[in-house]
Amino acid sequence: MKFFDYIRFALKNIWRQKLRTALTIFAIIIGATSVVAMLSLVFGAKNAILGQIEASGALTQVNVTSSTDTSNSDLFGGGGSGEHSGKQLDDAFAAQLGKMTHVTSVTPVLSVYVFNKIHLKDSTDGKDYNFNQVQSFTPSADTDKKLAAGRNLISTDKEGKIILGSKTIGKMGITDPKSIIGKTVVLTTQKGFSGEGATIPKPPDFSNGPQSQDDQQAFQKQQQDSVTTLEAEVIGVTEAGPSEDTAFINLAWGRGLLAFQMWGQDPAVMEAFQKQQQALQQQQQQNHQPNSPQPASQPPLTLIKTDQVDQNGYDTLQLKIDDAANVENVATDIRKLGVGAITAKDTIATILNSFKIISLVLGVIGAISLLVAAIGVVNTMVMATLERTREIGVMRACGATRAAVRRLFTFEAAMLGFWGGVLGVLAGFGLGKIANIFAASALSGLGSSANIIQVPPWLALTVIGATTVVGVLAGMYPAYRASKMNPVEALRYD
Amino acid sequence: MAQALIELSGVTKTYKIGDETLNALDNVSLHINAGDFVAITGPSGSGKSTLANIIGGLDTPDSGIVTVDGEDLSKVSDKKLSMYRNKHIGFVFQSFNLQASYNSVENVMMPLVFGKVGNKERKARATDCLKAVGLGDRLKHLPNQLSGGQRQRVSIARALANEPSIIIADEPTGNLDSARGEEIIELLKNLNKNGITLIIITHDPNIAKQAGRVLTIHDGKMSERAN
Repeated sequence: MKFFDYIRFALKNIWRQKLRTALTIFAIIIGATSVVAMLSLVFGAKNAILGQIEASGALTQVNVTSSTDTSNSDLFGGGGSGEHSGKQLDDAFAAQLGKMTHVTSVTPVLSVYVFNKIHLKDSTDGKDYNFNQVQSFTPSADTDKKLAAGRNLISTDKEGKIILGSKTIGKMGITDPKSIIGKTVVLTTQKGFSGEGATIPKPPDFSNGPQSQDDQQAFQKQQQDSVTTLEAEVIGVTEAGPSEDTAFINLAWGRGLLAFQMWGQDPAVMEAFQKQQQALQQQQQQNHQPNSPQPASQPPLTLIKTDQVDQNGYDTLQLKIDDAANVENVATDIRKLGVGAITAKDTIATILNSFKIISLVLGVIGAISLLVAAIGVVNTMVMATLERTREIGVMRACGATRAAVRRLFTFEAAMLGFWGGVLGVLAGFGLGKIANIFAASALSGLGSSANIIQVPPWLALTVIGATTVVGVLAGMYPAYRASKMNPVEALRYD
Repeated sequence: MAQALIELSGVTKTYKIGDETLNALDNVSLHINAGDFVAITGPSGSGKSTLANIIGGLDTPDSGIVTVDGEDLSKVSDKKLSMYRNKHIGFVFQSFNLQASYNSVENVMMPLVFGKVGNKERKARATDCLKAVGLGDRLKHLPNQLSGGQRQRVSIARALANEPSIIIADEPTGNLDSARGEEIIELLKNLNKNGITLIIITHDPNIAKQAGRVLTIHDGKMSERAN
């Protein structure tokens, strides 16, 4: 028997039992489709995310953190763990880094963790949405974000200008990013906010005698619970991507928001006050006026402001590197200075690793469904050998060797696997197309790339190859049975 | 005496059915010359089919030697035995054993497929064989569109396809009425006249009468009488 005869006969034979063949193939289709759909979704998502990282300029970026333990940080989280165990990231250090070779710019970044809620000023639904990730930096060409609408920050946008993340406005129920540009949002701070713009309640005046316990507690509670609402104009909305839930503001504003203000005794005021007191006392002693009214025991309180950056430095220094190839070298050099340096390499490795795990899990699910399909193939082929026992006898009488009979049935099983794979890949491809249409309409407003699901040719060929191999393996036992039949008994079989 | 084509010496074959041992062939020796017309008769279960199957290379003896055209069949591989069946033997069965989903030409082509004959030549030879058995106008018919006699003719055409030297027909008229049976026997006799060795297994004394030699098997023992 020639090679093409096997294919021809196998095709003809599987088509004899149309319904059974269709059902068997259908089981393989389900397996192949699920493998294709799941893996292509994973690959598509992986490529989309890596593409966004590349587009965001992260590949030429190094984030310097004060903490050398950068295991929990990535390029997009701001790296602000708040633990400044290492060197302080101040302006002097930033200038030092700026002088390094390959470093084209240094941008100080502060995470502004004072906000809690956000809503549109002119919204009528009365809902407030969670809002806490805000980054501030000095705007420059190197800090420009990929925007779905609006414009980037410029250095003159000191206060009250904000760029929102696409996910954030999505949460707020806004589908068209353009519609929010120029609108005012109301930002509610967390309790106890004491930065710029806050109304700091003045402690009760106890110069006229000791204050009561209740008064003191009431004041403390007032201070702890005080929230401030600030307004900002939305000037831009970022694209979907790694930082889609982060808002951006100017460093000048962020620094002000992070400042710590409280009523207290200004040392200068205190000194002046004490001098004044002494002068008064001397005057009283000279004048021998012991019964004159007592002077105030406390000087007037002033609002004292502490700048966080002066105290602790910046959270992160964002470095732009001239070429992606130099990024790792620069990062290594910077780590020698006793600070942490985060590059996209770690982030990408993390992403690739998580996708590897997802692929593995989905691959196992696919393998199980193919195994179930394989059992169907075994069943079908065993049935076929029983039904065609007499035919096997005739073939043997006509000169078919055992090997020819075995190969013929193996080819039939392979054919079931092959067609299951082909149709499964087509179905997976079709599902991917449909999913892309849905994804495109869901993401169109955010300017994201629509081809989330991709079926790479090698995946299609691998799946078809795999189902064919599954068919061959599943057909081996039935084919062996068929080949071992005694032709004399096979011819007598009813 | 012509040179012996088929030579059996001391062939024994036993079957175990449950606890009983059945002597299908008990020390059978015979020779058949090229061009002989041999009828094998005997009661059911006497071992006549076993004899035909051993000559046809479908079965192998437990002991004894089977030689066809100088080749010992008792010890050859499956591949060689299959090739022998393919090139030398044409089987005709009582129940025709046609492939229900194949038309006449496709059924006749079967031995040619296993004989690795090219596709075009297969069709041409199958068509010729069908014409030779008088079915030139039934080439594309499926078995269920043919009468019993026609089906057996297709089966004979299939047996002829590889131009065998021996045709083994196991009760070829058993499923046919007497008139159709006569026609089939005439057809086979004509093939025999053209030089093909014909071995017919039959119950029918009328057919046995027409054969040149009649072998009778009884409980595995063979006896022969010449007509």
